[in-house]
Amino acid sequence: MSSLSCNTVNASTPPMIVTEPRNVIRAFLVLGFFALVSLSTFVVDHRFIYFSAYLWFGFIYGMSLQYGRFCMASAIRDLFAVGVPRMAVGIMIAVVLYSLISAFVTVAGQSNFHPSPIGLYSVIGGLIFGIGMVYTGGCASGSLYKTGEGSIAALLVVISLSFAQVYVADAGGWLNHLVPTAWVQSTIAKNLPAVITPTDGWYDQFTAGYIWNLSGNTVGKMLGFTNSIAAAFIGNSLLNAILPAAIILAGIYLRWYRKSYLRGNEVQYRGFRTELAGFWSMITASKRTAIAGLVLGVAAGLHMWVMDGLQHRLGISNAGELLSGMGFTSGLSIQDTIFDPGYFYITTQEAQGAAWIVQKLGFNVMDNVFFGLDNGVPNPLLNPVLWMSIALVGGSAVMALLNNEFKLKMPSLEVATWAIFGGILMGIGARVGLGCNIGAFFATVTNGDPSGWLFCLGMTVGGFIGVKFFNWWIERKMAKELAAFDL
Amino acid sequence: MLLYGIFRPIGLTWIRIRHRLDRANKLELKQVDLPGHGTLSVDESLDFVGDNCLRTNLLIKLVLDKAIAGAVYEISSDNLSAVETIPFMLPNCDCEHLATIHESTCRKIYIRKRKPQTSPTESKSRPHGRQR
Repeated sequence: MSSLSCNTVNASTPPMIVTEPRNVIRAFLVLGFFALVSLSTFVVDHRFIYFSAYLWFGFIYGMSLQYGRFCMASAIRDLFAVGVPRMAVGIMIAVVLYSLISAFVTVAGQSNFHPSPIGLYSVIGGLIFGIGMVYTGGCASGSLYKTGEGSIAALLVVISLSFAQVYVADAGGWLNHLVPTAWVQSTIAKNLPAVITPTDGWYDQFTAGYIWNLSGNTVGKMLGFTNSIAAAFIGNSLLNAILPAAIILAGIYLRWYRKSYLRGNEVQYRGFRTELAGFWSMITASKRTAIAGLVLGVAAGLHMWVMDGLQHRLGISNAGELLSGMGFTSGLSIQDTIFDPGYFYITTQEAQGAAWIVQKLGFNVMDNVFFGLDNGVPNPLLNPVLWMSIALVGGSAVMALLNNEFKLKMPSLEVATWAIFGGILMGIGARVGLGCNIGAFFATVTNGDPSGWLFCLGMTVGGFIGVKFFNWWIERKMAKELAAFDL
Repeated sequence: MLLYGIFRPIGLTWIRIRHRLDRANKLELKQVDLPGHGTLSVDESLDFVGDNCLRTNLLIKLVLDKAIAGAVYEISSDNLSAVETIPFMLPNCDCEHLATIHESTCRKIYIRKRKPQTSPTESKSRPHGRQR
């Protein structure tokens, strides 16, 4: 008989985590590294504080994401595959809180958010991204935090997602034949600089010939609110984030939670009161996810406030100006800018990192709209938004170490193949949809931009397709194995 | 095609041998001591170490849906997301979460398939879907 009384926990008692001393040391080493980077760069030039702000918010995001196992792929997949609403609920909590903080930031005039154009591209991009993230087992932010937990499969997702974006943004050749004539003509009419060869490359013409012709705005402005408080709180937060989130939560409750709640608790049914109790039970079912959603929502809102404040303080509107001021002009776009959203974002900075490597291999990745005109390809050590992604991995590693959850995990060949294939789909989806689950959904819907819900719709449908396919794949594999025994 | 023809019978024989060995090992039931539940015999151990969360969750659901009432399962997984989700999916599979063991390489989750008719006292002791 094997006794497992040591380190054994009962389902009804929270596990007592006693962090191993070596894990505490490792966690402090990671923390110390980021602190050292912040301090030493600040000593070299005080303007590096702008980079450090991104870094520490990334660190907080990493800790929160790891603590709550916060993942958009998990939210969609768990609903459709096993009927568990835990993660979807946590994400909706984060949406509501982030939208409220964003409304405060907007009213204070500290928001640097720019709404995306509204169009079908969001749904298509979300769909491709959604299918990909189900195959990989993690969304863009989820893959980053899982990399911090030591998952090599998640690292493969990040790498394939990054390089796939570079390919999509820069590829021409046969892809040019897929560009509609209207996009080509519209691109030519814009008289873009010849150095970025705007008519060579599918993505260039998609951006200049299609996306730029679309318009977008926040709900507050669309509804014509003249009062900034009403526009931010009623239009952007209430109508675009809180109400849709409440409707989604109600839908999840009715479809996935209500039946088992009533059955499981054997409660005396008291109409609306019981339904409300059931709804609250769903919200609080996983405290861990709810707490993570709360921290993430507040941190994401504060991030915008801090970045805008720093921009005012340093007298800049883009980090490219900081780099120019410090004498680093290599990798800036032809507008002397780099990617600098001023809020939580994931995929573009990773694409920049991959593009920098591709460029070092001798390829020209600056002859396109995405890198050459808009985002630039700075050295990863001088890319403030990439600092955020790296720190996100570090924050996740620290949290994982403190909970004895860090483990270097090598994937099997099958898992690695799914990770790379799914990562490529996510990279394509992120470019087509102009962002990932964070940039095209989380940061947009919470700032009053309805295009984020279109991306969410596509991502949900994509997730559903992905789950159905994966289910079919597994059942087929199992049937094959069982058939082998019958032979 | 020729290589496939040569190696397929070898592969299938190897799978059959492994299956028989596994079955022979399973005849010796593993016993575990879980607080609040005493000593229990594990009817089946499922190893998902290294698998991604979707595969882990889907396979567990497939197994638990077809499980016999009263059967105890031991699930090993190092996927933290899956480990977190499994207790929440159990009510839908008519199963109860007995315990989660933290081991250095993975987590072991113990699950019991509920009997078709449960007494009210039993179900009250396990608030639905609530993580504690």
